[in-house]
Amino acid sequence: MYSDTVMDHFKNPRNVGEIENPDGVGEVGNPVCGDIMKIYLKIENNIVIDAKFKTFGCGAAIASSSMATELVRGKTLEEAWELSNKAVAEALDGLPPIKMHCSVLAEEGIHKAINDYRVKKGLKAWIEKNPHST
Amino acid sequence: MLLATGLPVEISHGSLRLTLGDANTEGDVDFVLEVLPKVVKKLRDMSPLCQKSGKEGGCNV
Repeated sequence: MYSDTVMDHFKNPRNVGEIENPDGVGEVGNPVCGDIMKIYLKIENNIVIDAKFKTFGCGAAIASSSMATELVRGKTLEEAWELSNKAVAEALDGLPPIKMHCSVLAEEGIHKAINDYRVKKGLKAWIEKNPHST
Repeated sequence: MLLATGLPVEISHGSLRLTLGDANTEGDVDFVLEVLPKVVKKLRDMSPLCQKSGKEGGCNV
């Protein structure tokens, strides 16, 4: 049911852990829906130089956070903001339909971490262009 | 059932129920004891809930 890429990122997740003194942190999800994701970003000169995560959830949630942190590393904040849940799912060679919300959570986690950074810097938080209902 | 006992959702979702039957052997138990704690540790280390609790080896929130 999971692609080889999902299984790989689930079994050997990239970028697990925390960043000390992160520039942005985003925690999304809630225990009732079953998944909690926390994304940490280190940002220098508008570039995401490091991204890490901690996730409590299913294999797809772990794989989505692993892939999302991989995808935003080295990106500008604008590029990282543009990362869609679809792009995360595609990079994982697809997710089962009932697990697509995991990729949504990853996108939202990145967004929340970016806005955490922006607000701390005294900048305006960016507005979600395609707010997900979850 | 765990929720009905009043445990919070995050603890209930992180629970694991193991059931033994007639067909199980001591070897099965040894195997689970060898494999499962490592898996649990890995997932706990990855969980943002464990970090909040600040407890060693547990994720009680």
